[in-house]
Amino acid sequence: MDSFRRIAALRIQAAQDRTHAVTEEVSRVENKVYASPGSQTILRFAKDAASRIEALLETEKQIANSSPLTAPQLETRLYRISRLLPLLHELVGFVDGSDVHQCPSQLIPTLRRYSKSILPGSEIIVSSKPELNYSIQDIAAPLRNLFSGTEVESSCALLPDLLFVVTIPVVESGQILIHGVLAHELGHAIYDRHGIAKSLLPMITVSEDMVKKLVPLMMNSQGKGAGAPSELGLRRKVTEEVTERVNGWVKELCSDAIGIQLFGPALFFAATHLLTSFSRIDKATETHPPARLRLRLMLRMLKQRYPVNEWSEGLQSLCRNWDEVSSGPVSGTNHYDQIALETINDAVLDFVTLASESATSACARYDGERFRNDIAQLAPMFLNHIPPGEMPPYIGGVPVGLASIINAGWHVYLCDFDKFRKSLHPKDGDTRFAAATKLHELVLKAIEISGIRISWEEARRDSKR
Amino acid sequence: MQEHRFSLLADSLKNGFILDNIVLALARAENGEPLSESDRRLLGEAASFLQSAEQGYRWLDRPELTSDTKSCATFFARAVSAMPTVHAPEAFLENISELKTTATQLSRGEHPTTRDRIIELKTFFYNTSQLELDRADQLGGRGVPDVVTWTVFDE
Repeated sequence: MDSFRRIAALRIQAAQDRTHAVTEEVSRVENKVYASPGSQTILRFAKDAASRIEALLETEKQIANSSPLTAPQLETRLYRISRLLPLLHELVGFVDGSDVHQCPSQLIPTLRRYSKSILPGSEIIVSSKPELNYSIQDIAAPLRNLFSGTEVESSCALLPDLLFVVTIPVVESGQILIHGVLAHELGHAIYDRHGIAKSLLPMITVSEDMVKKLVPLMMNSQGKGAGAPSELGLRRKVTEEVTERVNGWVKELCSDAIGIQLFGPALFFAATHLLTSFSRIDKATETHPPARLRLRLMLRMLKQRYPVNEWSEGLQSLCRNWDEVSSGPVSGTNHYDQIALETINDAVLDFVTLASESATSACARYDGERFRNDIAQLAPMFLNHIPPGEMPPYIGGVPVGLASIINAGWHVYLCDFDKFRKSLHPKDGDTRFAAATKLHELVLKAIEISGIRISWEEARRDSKR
Repeated sequence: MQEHRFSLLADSLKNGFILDNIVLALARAENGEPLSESDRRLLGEAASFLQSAEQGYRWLDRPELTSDTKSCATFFARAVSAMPTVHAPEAFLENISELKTTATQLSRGEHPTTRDRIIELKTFFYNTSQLELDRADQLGGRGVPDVVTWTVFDE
């Protein structure tokens, strides 16, 4: 046997040992009590996938021993398969922090129910992490795509259609209002499920003139000496950078628009709240538009769909300030950002808004009327320290929806916070943070009551069948 | 909000597996082994990949958007990187066309005119698979222990 084939066998053996380590780790943590069944789903998947990857590695032994691949080709192949192991570690890592002691478990049933109502077949886990970072991502579709056509494909039968992993900073795990951003992530899934790109993208015109001028412009600016990029290289760069931006930005914007349809102003408030802590307003990437453009779209939609001018002075002032900021030019951009910004003009923002409307059902959409009612009926309950999880009469009343609770909570936070703080026991309201914690606790309790109420109704309906 | 690194990593590994299997199928073809149905299907995918790369090249001439635009641009970019000695647009198109012909012939169970054609195609896809692996390493940086930092010594 050639020495490279022996090394390949060692590589396979080491990877197989590591799959055992994953299985062991899953066995160690699978008996914890998790707030969502999604955590157990991930663990079951990781365990099953680990054993199938081990079998996959076994079949690779044959390829390593007898295939006509050269040493580098074989190494690339085996190295890639062994890259699946860190991925499994990452999956197990998602579960860490999702047990009932570490995450806001009262929130989970309502979040799960809401996400299933919008996207049947979806599941959600919330995981508290030590990092100061908020993220939401679906991991089921990427895993299904990765393993389709491989020996690990059957492990994917354990996964729901969509499995959202929400990670939040452990020290801020009680900051419930931020969860309004969940609506944006549901927007991504709706964008994909409805195939919005197929109908929306052909409606968008990229300036032919701008993109065609860019290659010669860059060639001239970078000279023609040794080391200067070739015409082909520049053509590649411009094509890749522009198309990635326009596609990615449109998707993000459409997800924001769907989020606004679902959660209304609460998404905008959560987005601005995160923005002030974690983002630069004009920072764009290949996949994400600058926050200024995203806020511009969200505000446009709010102004179109809500009587913003009739809102309380506090909210109007907040919207005015963000409106002025978001309508300003995006600065510090490169050529590619500039083309994407020129392409995604007001007409495109209107297409995006329309697409978001047609992708969401009327009953799932939050609207001005609901916002007005929620402010009038639910916000005063918060001010009286009553968690508004159900509407009176309390016998035969109705549970309050997730979007309504979060919107009313935001309204108190943004407009009546001083009043709320003064109403608290001095010990609870001695700092702004302590008072905010109390408000979040009330929001969380309202969400929990709403969840219990809905569960009761579901149980009653089931018992009548 | 963190960008969707997990999804990008999964996507990169998926592409890499396909490329590795294309390389394996081409190694078999180069060796004169008969190609299985799945090998031929993979080589059909290889031809589609090259077709997309050509479409990606032409996008700048008529920059219209469809749901395929991004993937064509990505294939084009990978194809350029996989042919590091090709700098002229005409040579690029000619190479892609030749590679596509070879892939199509093999996918139909026909034999290319020379074995060198298969080697060229295999080299192209091996280079592409290496680039995809680099990308996966970059994306997976957080989950992979940096071995170099464990073993580096002060000089």
